[in-house]
Amino acid sequence: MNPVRAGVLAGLTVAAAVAVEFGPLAVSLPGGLLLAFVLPGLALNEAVFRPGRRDVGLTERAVLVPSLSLVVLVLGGLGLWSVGGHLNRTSWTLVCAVTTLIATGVAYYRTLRAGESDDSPPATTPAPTKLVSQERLIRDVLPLTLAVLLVAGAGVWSYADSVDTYDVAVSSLSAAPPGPVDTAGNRVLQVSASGLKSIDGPWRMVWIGDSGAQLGTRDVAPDGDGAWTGQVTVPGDERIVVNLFRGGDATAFRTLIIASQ
Amino acid sequence: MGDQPTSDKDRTPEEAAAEPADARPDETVVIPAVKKPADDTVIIRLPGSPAKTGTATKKKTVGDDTVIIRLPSPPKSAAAKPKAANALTTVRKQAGDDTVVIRLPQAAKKSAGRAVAVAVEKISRDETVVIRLPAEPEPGKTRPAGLGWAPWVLALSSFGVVLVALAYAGGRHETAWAMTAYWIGQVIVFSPVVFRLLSRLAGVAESFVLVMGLAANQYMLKWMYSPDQFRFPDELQHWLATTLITESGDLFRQNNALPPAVHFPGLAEMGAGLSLLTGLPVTAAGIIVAGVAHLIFVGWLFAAVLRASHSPAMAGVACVTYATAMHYLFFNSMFLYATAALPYFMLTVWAHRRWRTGGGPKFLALVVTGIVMTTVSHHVTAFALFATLLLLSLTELALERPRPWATLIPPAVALAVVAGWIGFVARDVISYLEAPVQRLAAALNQMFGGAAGGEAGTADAVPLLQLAVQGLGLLGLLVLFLAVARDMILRRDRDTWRWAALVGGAAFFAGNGARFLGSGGPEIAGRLSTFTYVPISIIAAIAIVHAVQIVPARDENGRRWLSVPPPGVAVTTGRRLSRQVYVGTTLITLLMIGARTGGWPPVSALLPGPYMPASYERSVDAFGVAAAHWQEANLPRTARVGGDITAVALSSTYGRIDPVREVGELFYANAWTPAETEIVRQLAIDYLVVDHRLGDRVPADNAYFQSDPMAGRITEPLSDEQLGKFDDLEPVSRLYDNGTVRIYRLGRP
Repeated sequence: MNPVRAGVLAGLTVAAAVAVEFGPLAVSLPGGLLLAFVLPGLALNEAVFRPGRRDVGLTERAVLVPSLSLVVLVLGGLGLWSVGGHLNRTSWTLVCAVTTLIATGVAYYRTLRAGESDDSPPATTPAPTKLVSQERLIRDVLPLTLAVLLVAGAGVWSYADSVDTYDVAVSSLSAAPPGPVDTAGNRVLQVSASGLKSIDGPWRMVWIGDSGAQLGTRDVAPDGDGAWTGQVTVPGDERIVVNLFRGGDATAFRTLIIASQ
Repeated sequence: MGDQPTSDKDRTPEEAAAEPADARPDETVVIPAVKKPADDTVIIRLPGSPAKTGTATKKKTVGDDTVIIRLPSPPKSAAAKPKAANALTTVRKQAGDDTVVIRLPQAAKKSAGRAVAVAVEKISRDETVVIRLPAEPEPGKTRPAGLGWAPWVLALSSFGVVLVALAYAGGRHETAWAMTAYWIGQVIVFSPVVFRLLSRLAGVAESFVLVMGLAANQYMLKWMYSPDQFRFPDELQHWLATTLITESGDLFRQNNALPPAVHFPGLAEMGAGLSLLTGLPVTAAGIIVAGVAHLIFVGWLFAAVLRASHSPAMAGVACVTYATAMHYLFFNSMFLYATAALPYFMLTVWAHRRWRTGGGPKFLALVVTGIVMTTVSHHVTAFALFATLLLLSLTELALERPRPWATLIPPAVALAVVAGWIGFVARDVISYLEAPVQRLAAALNQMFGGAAGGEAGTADAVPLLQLAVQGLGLLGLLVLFLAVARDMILRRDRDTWRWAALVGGAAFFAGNGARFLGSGGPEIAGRLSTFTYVPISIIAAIAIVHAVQIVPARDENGRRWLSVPPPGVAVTTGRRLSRQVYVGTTLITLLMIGARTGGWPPVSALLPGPYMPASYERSVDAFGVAAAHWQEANLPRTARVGGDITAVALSSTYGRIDPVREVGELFYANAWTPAETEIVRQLAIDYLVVDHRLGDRVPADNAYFQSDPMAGRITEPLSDEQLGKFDDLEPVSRLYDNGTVRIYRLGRP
């Protein structure tokens, strides 16, 4: 690895680590993706397989980079945890970044050593060619862009459609497991409701005892999120049915049953 | 696995397959074939000194009319100098046949190494090498990094992605055309790539881009099914395992949803690491990790086959054939621990190949790394990796002389690592795997012994059309398998990897019999085929790309099936090639359709849509998730909660409680009796989740519950009486009601 390449890789690693540790999502996202999938693998690749050698082909290098990066993430995390470390953003950032920097150093050192032992003149670098010719633009870039746009568009639309389909209002009535009976023989029920629309109100809660007699009633006024919670005191020795009524409905919208104790 | 065993050392696949003009300073010469359009005559000019035209031992096609013939280096003293006329050979193609016959001089001494000796043996019998040259127009100059038609093919494939997205939306809104759009989309995503790869005109870069592009597009098909959240139970279980790491910073935390996953933290670490590094939610990080792992796996499969065959066509065809594995599109690309292990399974196989072909100790180190990564990621994949390495070693030991005992190092290391991990870390995996092994044994017993159907019963017959499609595809694979087997046997093939692939292919057919074992059959076969489909894909690629004769011609002795195949590797051209491309594309597309119908999700849930009882992804909706979140907020982590398949999956993950799965009898009872009370006591059930939609229709998978006592025998939905009896039980409290899902506390408060 030549000095420029090593410097760029090291600089990118430090920048990604800083972005991950201190940056907002907009910068921590690319930084984290680089640290998780690219940089450690790239550096290890360079350290193990020297560039210019025919050890591995382009396709193999392309697959080795994310593979080795994930090795660092998994085995690094396992090693860190086994010595008592805590796996959080900072520790994983350090694992990935330090591994990358060490591997970059090794790659650079190996290149230096190889250069010292190699007396042959450096290989001539072919003249830079135009990266994107008009022909290539039409033949490669245009259709690939089209493919990416189609797939991305389909993905975004599919995501939105799935969220819209899933996004159904769920109205529930619930009670926390009741507490013990007090000295007066009563229990306190913490009753909650959610997903209540004010427009469907008014909401009213009625609780009934063993005999079918109404033991109490309360108006339920949901907050802006459609949630409500309150306490209800009921006899401990009776089986209580708690009904939530919507608007002028005659039948209960939601029902709880609390067994006697 | 390629044209003949060669060392991979110092040659990248790109160089081997895409740089025909690179006349290396060894025995390799490049012979450009010049075809005269008028008379079908092909003239091959042999360059170089006459001494280099002694014996042909290597032929390679590179996607155009160039034929590379690798020549041995006979000792100068012993090399018979051919006549000058041999340097310029003119041959005529025979009518109706694209085969060009080149007569070569007698082989030199067999002292140029084993690889040379093998080829010389062939030639010494016949002196004829048959090379089938492409008669079609030149596909154009290929650049090593040229993408060829891949971008346009992938653009076309992307239209299929759009169609499937439309189909999914149509499914969610229950439109009639959705299923039609789904199948058209699947074919458009898949078949153009297959067609292009089968045409054998793509170089390494183009093939690689095609294969990876197809894998990406197919992952999109999986993701778009449920893009906003994980819905498959196993994905939810791994979501929890990952979330536990992000919340606690610890590994090996108890996960009630899937206890064995605790000791295989590979996937969870990847997801947690990415989530923490990027700030993304665990679900988003998991989707990315699964996608990347899926692409890496395909990349390694391509690299391994390319390295072994030096043929981008074969690597590409093997990959697209593997894409027709039943679980490829879902189980093998879901956020499951096997998905994290599979890339390292293939990495190990690739590194093993590189090490065994002179790559050096760094590849052995990669083998060990791959073994460790596979082992800490997934138990079954680790077992399969050990078996694969053992198979590769045994074939090498059987075929190579002197026996290369060093080849036993990788399986020995795999055995030590896997045994050590299970023995010291993941002891519970043994009992965990006991149940599926018993189910498999029961299924096999039922198949071969005629035992009465148990849980894997046959009450729910697999639809005839589905069986026909799958059977037809399998039959095609079997024909290709037998053709390659016959070809290898009669050629006295000694390529260790080809033999290993052939044995693995046989294992595929043996394991695939489970596909026809009723409703549970496809799942068993699919899980097995995750591994055995790799070798059968390679065998299919060999058969298709090398145009192995399905029905061989009679030889001079009138023998058809025992006739020795012509030496060398046949490369079909002209109309025959066109026919093979069409037939091959049809076969592989048929396999893909069979995989979609027999794999996952089941046919009844191929499209996302409204709630269906006990139907995995189709059963996860806002009502069930809301009930699970209520449990997470209100119930202790130790609470034992039972319910149907979906309720248990949601309760144990989003709800974070201890699931009880064997509660079917409590639901099926028409009235509560002491027997039900005893079940509650034995299973220590604290809560039951009752979804009243279980009474709407029978479950598509013929079971409402895990370990369902009525599995395969359900003829009508649960009744109101069965579902409503809990309201009448004196000691039972209904603590949660969202109109659809109710949660009962069993026993007095």
